[in-house]
Amino acid sequence: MKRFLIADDSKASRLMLQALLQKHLAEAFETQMASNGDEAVAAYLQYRPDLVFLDLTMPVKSGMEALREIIAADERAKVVIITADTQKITHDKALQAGAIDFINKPLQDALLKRKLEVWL
Amino acid sequence: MTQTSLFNDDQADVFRELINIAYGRAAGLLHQFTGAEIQLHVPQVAFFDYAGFIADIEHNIAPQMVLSQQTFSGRLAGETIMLLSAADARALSGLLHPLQPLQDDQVLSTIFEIGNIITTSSTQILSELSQVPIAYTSPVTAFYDPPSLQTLLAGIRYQDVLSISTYLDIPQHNVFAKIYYLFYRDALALLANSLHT
Repeated sequence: MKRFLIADDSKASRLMLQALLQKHLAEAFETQMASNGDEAVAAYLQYRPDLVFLDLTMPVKSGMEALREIIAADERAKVVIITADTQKITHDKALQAGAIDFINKPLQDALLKRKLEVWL
Repeated sequence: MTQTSLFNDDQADVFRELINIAYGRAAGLLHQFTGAEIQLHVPQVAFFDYAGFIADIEHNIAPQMVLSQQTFSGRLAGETIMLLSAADARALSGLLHPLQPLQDDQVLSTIFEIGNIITTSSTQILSELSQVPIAYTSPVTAFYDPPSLQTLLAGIRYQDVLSISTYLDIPQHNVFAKIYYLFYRDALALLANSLHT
């Protein structure tokens, strides 16, 4: 069974992504949630998910810091950035830090469906 | 500061995320125009009455300020206010005009354009998500010292307003501005239902 970690300070966005995963994935999966960067790193280390969906603008610890810590702990971690930040420099920094992909909010249903086939 | 219970925590979460998305769109455009990296912050949500809003503005007053205000209308009616010190305004304007010392009118015209970019690009995404059109007035941008800002604020007569605020923060260039997205009471229900699958 696939395991996902959804890290976003917005509850609405976490639930929206979870609903879209249920819509697009035929097989059962498990989801862990985190609402800031600290929780994301701790959850990753505890649950070792197959795929992390990571927001960047979060309290306590930013998503970029969390990404770097996750990759430092596990260079094979698969982290997808899902963020409102549309700056190219942010995109480039996230990929340099080890994210496998970067998509902007608001989440596009069709794009997520296509991307899931690539990520999994 | 006065806050009421006109919305619950889940709705506040939606308001915060909407402005996160909306301002993220504006930040991308500003990054294209200025070449500067903009640090994004988690937006703050509050529901103010008049006194609460004035108190929040006064908390950010510097000896000389620039304020840019732009109204948008339609079912999603409100306004944006960008408030920054004159020094920050000059630093921000200098990103677009790096080769020359700027006169005050050039600073104001640059802040006018930046305010317009922030308002239109960010509320455009709100318009798409809520599926209602938004119309804009031209921004009003001016320098203020504390007495003239007090006069301006005295003319504002919000009964109550949803304030979602964030920052235009460009650390490498010492630019820091507060940005308010203010929505009138009638827009609350529309906003709360704008984020869905």
